[in-house]
Amino acid sequence: MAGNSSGYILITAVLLVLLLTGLLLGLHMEAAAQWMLARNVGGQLYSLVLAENGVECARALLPHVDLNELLAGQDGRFSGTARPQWRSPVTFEEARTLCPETWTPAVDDGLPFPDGALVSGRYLAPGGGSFFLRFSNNPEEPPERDSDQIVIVRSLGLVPAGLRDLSPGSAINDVTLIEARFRQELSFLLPSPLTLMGGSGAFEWAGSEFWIHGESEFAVSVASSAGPGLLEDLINSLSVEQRDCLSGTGHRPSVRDASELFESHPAHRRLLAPAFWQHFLEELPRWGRRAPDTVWWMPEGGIIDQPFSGLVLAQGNLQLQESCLITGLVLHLGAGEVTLQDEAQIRGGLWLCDAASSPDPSSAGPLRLRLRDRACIVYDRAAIRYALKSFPPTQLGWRILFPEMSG
Amino acid sequence: MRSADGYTLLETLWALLLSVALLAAFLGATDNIQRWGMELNQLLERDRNATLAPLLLTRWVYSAGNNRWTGNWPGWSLESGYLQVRSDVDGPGGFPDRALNESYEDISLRQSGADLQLKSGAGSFQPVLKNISAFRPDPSPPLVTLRLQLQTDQPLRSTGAPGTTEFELDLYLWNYRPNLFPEAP
Repeated sequence: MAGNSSGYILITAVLLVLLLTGLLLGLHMEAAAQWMLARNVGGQLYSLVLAENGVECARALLPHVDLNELLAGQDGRFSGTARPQWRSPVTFEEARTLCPETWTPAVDDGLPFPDGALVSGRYLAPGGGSFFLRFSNNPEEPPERDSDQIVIVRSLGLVPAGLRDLSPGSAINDVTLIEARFRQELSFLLPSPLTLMGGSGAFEWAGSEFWIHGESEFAVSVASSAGPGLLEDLINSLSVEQRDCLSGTGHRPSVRDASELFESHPAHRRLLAPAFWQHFLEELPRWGRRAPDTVWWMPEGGIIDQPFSGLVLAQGNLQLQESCLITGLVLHLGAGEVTLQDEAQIRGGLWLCDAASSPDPSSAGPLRLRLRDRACIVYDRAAIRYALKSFPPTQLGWRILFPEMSG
Repeated sequence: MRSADGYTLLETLWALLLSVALLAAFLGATDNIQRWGMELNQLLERDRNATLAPLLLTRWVYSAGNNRWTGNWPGWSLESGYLQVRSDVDGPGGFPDRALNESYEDISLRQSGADLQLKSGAGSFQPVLKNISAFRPDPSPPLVTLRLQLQTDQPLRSTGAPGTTEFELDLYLWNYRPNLFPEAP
């Protein structure tokens, strides 16, 4: 058959190609939608991780800052609460469109400035993300002045703009805001070089050349819920010559009943509560094993024969060897005695109680202390503050904030 | 030159037969493609829920236990058949108010039918995520694990069984992070 080349396979082929193209296009759209969804969810989750990291950064910073200086900022002046979302490092609206590289904070309130260098409040993270921090006072107090050592930190995690969809101008940053509430722990900011809490005591003083010096404070403060027994044991253990070895403010010996002081001071008052010690002693071993280098945790007591600067926590028999110098804070929690050998020194403070053996340390005892000749305990509030930086802040709350929440 | 005045009956019948054969082959091929496409859609829809689930679950449960030390309620508890999560995160002043009366402060999560359902406060359970065939929380704060099993809406034609996938979401509940000092003042 010549000349008749008509047929319909072409149409069939074209239809097939069209159908395949349609199917593939649909598949591509699905895949693109899935990719965008995964990317956006991934960005949002990463911003959450960054915000969490911000809170942890704040947790590490907090023991090292003066809260009132922090609230006022480097310029020393609190800027007020008129700004919208003033507790947050950045408002939600601004955060969604800001460019992290060019952002600068509007005010320096609540931004840390360690060693005088203002930290902008923006911290860089891998993958182009950032987190932003700002501290503020808890709402139970005036915003510019802290007295209860409780602060709020808001951490905003930000992942730079990604496409929401294919429409122009749809790129926004992924943002998560977390708020945590922390309390600096100053319960052991001792009022004297030697602070005793208990119901009774057994004291041994060698010679009359040991020295407990309170500077402008009392040499010894005694807190007890069991009456004057501990104070009486202390005074009765001193000979007439030895009473001059406890020097500071007030009469010689420079001792006082500080029970009312402890009752009236919020941070000290909790030390009188058995529930405090139950919790503290339960958590202490786990924390002590992972504590920083400025902490010396001695659960079975022991001997200190080298200089140390920081916080010593001990149970059992604790002995400071001859000429040993501790700068900071020594907390003896009971189940043994504390001995300062000849010329051993504590510069800062020493705390004795018997929490390890008794559910109510404020009436427990006897506390046991021995000071040899020329051993001394000299009050140094700055050294105690330094040691207290080793304690982590207590977390009182942690929540994710959403734009629809006020405050 | 032969005139183009039509086909014979035999030619027509042959052409019809060939067309039917070609069409059958064509549809057979496209039927497979369509089936794959449908199954892919089902799997993608299932995976879409799997992608969203971590974000939604994190939003609902991550603040569990906030402010619980001021009240007498657990932040995380497994009741019979559902997980209850409590968190005092909001109040009239924008701060926790020691009451669990704001939205999503007291929620329950359960798996029912093919949905993950959520109840807030005294409300009723509402579906929030579909294609969930199993939901197993492992409550041991501060580190908890939420195990979800997802499946497609319909059984897959290729296997005759629902396409299932599982994933685990590990969450560290920050409000259960141990404190050295007690929270109470």
